[in-house]
This record gives sequence, C-alpha cells and structure tokens, in this order.
Amino acid sequence: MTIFIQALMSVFLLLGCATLNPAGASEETVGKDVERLTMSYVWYDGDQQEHRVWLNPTLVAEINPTSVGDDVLKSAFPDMRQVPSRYRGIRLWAFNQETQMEKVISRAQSSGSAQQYYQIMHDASSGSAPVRLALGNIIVHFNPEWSESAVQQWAAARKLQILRKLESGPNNYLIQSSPGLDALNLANSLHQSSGVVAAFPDWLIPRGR
Amino acid sequence: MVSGMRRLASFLVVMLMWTGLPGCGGGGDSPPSQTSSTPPGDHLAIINDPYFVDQWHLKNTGQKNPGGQGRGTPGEDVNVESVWNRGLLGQGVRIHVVDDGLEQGHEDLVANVLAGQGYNFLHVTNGCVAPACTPNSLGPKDPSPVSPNDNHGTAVAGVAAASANNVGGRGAAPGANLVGYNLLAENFRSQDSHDSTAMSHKAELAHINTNSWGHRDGGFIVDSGPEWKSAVERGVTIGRGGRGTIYLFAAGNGENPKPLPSDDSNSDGWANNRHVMAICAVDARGKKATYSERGANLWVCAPLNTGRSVDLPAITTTDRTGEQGYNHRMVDFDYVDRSYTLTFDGTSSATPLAAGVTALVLQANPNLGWRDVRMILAETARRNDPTDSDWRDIGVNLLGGKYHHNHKYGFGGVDANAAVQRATTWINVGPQKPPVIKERTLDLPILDNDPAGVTDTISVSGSGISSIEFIEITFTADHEYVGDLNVTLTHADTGIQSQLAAQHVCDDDFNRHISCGLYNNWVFGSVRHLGESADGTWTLHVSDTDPISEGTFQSWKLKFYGR
Repeated sequence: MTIFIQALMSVFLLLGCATLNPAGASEETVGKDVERLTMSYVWYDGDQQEHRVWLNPTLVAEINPTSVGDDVLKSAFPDMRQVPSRYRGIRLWAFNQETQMEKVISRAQSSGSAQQYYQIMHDASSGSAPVRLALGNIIVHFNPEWSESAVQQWAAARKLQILRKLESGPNNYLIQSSPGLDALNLANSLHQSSGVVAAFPDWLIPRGR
Repeated sequence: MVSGMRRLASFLVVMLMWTGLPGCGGGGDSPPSQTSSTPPGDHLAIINDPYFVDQWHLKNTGQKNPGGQGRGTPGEDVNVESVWNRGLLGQGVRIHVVDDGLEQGHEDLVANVLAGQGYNFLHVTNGCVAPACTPNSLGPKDPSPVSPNDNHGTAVAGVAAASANNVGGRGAAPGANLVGYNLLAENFRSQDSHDSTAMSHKAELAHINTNSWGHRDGGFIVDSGPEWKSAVERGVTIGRGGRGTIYLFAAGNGENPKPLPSDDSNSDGWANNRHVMAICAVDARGKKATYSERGANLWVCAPLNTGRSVDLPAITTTDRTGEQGYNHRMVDFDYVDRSYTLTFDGTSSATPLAAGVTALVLQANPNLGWRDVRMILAETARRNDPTDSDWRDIGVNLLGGKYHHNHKYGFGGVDANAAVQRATTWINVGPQKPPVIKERTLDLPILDNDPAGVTDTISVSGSGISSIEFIEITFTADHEYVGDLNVTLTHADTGIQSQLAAQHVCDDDFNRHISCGLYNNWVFGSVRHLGESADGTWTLHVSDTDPISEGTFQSWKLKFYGR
C-alpha cells in the first residue's frame, strides 16, 4: 500500500471519522476498517449458531424515504446530513454526536412522522461493513410437536402478538416486536426457552439484482 | 433381485411418462391449470416468433450484435432446438419467478402465466405495511410491476418461458407455466420473513424457483437470512410433491478485474447455499462474461453477453409493454416494438435460461428428485472454453466417468439436449446419508502479507459417504480486513482444490474501499468435490497477501453431504 494512502489513513484515524460524507470523501480508499464500532450484540440463528452485530451510533436509516425528507427533523437536528447509500429504498442520515441517533428515532416516533428511522447494525466492527436492519418483529421456531393452540397460549402468557404462521417450517411464526435492539433483545430472551427452538429478529438484509 | 426389478420398474415408468407427456397440459391446482400456449404436435412447425433469429442464446448461428461489430460463435448456445422438436416445451412445469414483478398481461407471457397464483407483496392482505411497504392498487395475487423501475422480472420471465406463439421471441421452455413474486419491488423492503415466503409459498406445487438477485456486488460477505434458509430446506423436502423444488440463484455480477477480482459467488449467502444451484454466465463466444463471479459453488453457466459492451450481442426477451421497461430506444438498435428488448444481460439473464432448461428436463422425467436434476445438469454440461487452465476432472459420475469443474464455469455450459436425453434414462439416486461433520479449533496467527500462510488438516475415515454432493466449510478468522485473505480447501487424496476466497478489495457503488465483513462462522460452499469420497485428508490453507492488516485463524468445520 502506498505511503500516500497510509498517510491518508492516519489522517482519518486522527479525525476519528465515523461518517461517510460525500462532500469530503476522497476517491482514494477511505482506509481499512478505520471506523471502529464498539457496541456489539449477539443473536442466534435458526441453528442456534451465535452471530454478532455492531450498532452504529451515528447513522440511522430512513425506509422508503420521501423525495423531500422530514423538514421538521432537519430543523430540529441541523447537523443531520444525508450520506451516500448503496441500498435501494434506504436513505442514510449521519450525525456528529452519538446521542442524536436515539433522539431522532424517538422524536420521529413521538411526533407521528410519516417517516420512521431505524438503528443500523453492521456485520463487522466497521462503519462501512454490510448492514442489516431490525425493522421490527421476530421469528420464532417452536417445538414441532406443539399445537397451534399451545403456541397461542404461549404467546398470550407473554403478552406477545402472533402476526402470522410462516410456511418455511413446521411451527414457525412471525411475532410482533418493536424495531432495533428491542427486537434483538426479545429474540434473545426467548432463545432456547421452553418450547422455543430458535428466535431471531426478522432482519432486513439489503440485496441487489 | 428385488433391487433390480425396482430399477426396471422405475425405468419403465419413466419411459411411459416421457412418451406420453407431450399431450399433457399445464400444471397447478384449482382453478384448472393453464394449458400450453403451443398445441402438441405443432412444435415441428417452423419457428415463427419473429425475434427468435436474434436469440443466439437459444440458437447461435453467429448472429452479429446489431449495435456493434462482434459476432458470436455458432453452437455456443443452450442446444435446445432438438428438444423442442421432440415436443418438449416445458408443458406442465411450473416456474416461480421471484423478482421485482411480472407483467402478467404481456402478449408473450400471458398464455403461460398461471392467473391467480402469483403473489403481490405490495398488497395489504399480504402484510404490506408502511413504511417498509407502499401498497399498490393491484390484487393480492397480481405481481405485475407498477413502479417505472420494476422492469427486471418481466425480462427474466421471458428468458425462461416466453410463449412460442409467433409473437416476439420465445423462452427456453416456451410451454412452461409462470408464477410471479414481486419480492424485489421498488416500494417494498423485504425482510427475512418475506424472503422465506417467496421460497415456500405453494412450494408443494413449485417445480422451479428462479432468483436473479442476491447480495449487492462489491466483494463483501453477506449471509442470507435464517428464515430464508429454513424455507429452501423445507422446499427441497416438501416441494413438488416431495421430490423437491429446484432453486436457482444468479451467481452474481460483481467480478470486476481492476487489478484484482472484487467479488466471489461464495461471499453470497444465497448463491452458496447447498440447496441452490448458482448460475454463472458465458458470452456468445462461450467465454466467461467479464463480470460473472467465479466460485467453488458454481453449478452451471448459461449464455448472455460479455460485459455490457456493444461488442457481442445481448439477450432478447420480453420488456414491459409500451413506454415502461428497458427499451426506451436509448440505443438505436433496440426494437421499435418496445414490448421487447435485446439489451438484457447479466447472470440475471443466465439464471432463468438455466431455469427454462431445467423445466425441459423435468418434463422429460417428472420423477426426478431435486438432487437428481442437479447431477444431470452437472454430468451433461459442456466443457466450454476447453483450454482454460482451471478445468479439473473430479469425482465419479453415475456413468462411471468424471465430472469436470471450473471456478469460472461450474460444471460447464448447460446443454438442454444432453440433459434431457440423460433424464430419460436416469435412475434416481438413493437418499443422502446423514451429514458428516469434522471440526477443528485453533489459534494460528496468519502471517501478514505472506503467501506461505498457515495450513491445518482434518482427517476423515469411515464416513460412509462415497459420493460427495456438497461440502459446507465453516470458517472463523479474526482479521482486520478479511479481503486480504486467501482460503483454499484441498482434498489431498485427489489433489482437487476449492478456492473459497481470494485476496480482493471491497468497494461500494461509489468506488470507495469498504469493510468486507467478518469471517465469524462464515459458511462457504463447494461443489468441486462432487462424486468424491469424503474419506481422506483435507487441508485448509489460509494466507494474507496484502500488508498492514493482521489476524488469526481460529476455527474451521467441514460438513459433508452425500451418499
């Protein structure tokens, strides 16, 4: 790697850059994993295999965005700026302060905004790693021996709402949950509990054609 | 004795069905199934679909790219005409097209579309809820595209099964039935539960499920969702009345030579799944399309064009009717009739082409299991680009000969005539043995920028698997930039290697280098040991051939599937 690029990486490290600002981005490499995310969370897949995701504290995702965006939020958070997104139908917003991400999300929810914003999680500890979003709801695989009424009783006892039965397994269900870490935490709390074979968020994983 | 009589009985059933099939109508449940668009017996008539002459991928006569100077090589096609001449057009076979939509009323698709069988993810009764979804005005079973950007699926459907009706062109299986799923519609952000629906909805009826999508190109590792995995596993079990739905996925268009290839199909958790055939692409001269991703997981290739250039012809297929679609006459050589285009390409096009060939195989022998279909396609694929140095003879096929595999071409170019002929004499293989798992945990530093790397060994004996069908290689390495890593599996007893990952850079749509992700229990797939015994010595070599970032080889696991 050239000395020039090494120097460029050093600059980014010194600045602690964790955003993707299109106005300032160099056409050269932005460096290998210079943005280190520190908040990681475990989740378990259908085979109970452990995985880890890292929460990005300075980015939120806007799903199916309007052409204009939310002027109310922009005025409330003036440093909120759009960053390039390679994901169809997903617009990314960046902030300078980590605390603003949660404020934006809760502000949009409480104001009844037509647009909602979601936490962004990455599959590695870099802010440029592939993303996945927990838009809400979890998937639960129950003991195949359980009847439908047993599943409904289980859900009722935990005040959980069954949204629909899935066709992808003998006893797989979609269950309502809040988005983001709420979904992940709920799934983990159910993981390997009595009658539950697997539980994980209903992930949105961006894809292409 | 009993075994021999059972084999003879199976063979007789196959022969009876093959000879009787041309008179059958289409498939499906109630309402009554759609009939074929081409009456049986008319297949021997002259092909009058006016754009068929441009469809070199079906019959390559050396057609010239109307926009440039390049010509294809005669014979570099899917070799399908003689299959049609025997009356096999895919009648009775149901192809599920999972894409951004399917224009059900298109003049060249309507006769083959199974009305009332599709799935509109943009309908409220199918769970379309804001903001992840913006409902459209169509019915719950109508996946027709509405957004001006949802053009892909209509083109895909035409490659697979546009009708033989003296209009437009034709698909590889012009008598097959089509069912659309608009999972990738512009105004829909699908989650894992939706992906699984697209794989499992009416799976008991689905012969084929074709998917020209996957993770975004760029070289980074992206896994499929756990519920999607459950769905395909269920589909190969209960699909098609228990014989298993055939799943096809595009290998990916992310190979970008630059100084280094940037993407490998094995970084895509949809394309490298063991239940899926990953379809790569060759051009009109039988060479690898420049952007078609290589991989140890590739199954077969099908023709398209070379690299979105004007040098060689692209694919003629259906386009959204009228003003919508790809054909805006932005290139003056596209059709005046804007319901068709000759600019379609990508592994997106190769995949439905292979799906159409698969439909012909299933019509020839509906009793084939999903594993049998894969092995037939592998055994009969052409060794295209025969002088390429990566071809290897591997394993033992059911005729006692060898398969051949190439990281660029899979088992080779799909050959409809050879596959259909083989299907008629095929005797289904028995069930798979329980998978055999071997694993190692270690903590080996991977030397930075040193091709010597590190190697670990797993020995397998008494596995009971004399014919491998798929190997899953689960790999974990703690490394600062996984794009630096080369990972190679070798079966020391045969010398056959599977290159699972090669050093590359990962970039986004803005050509900025980004993280490639993490090898944390990442599952690679390999089909390069098809027909080999699982017994023997297996090595995994891991090296880092780019400076600065460092890491540790932490664990690996081999899971052998076979019989």
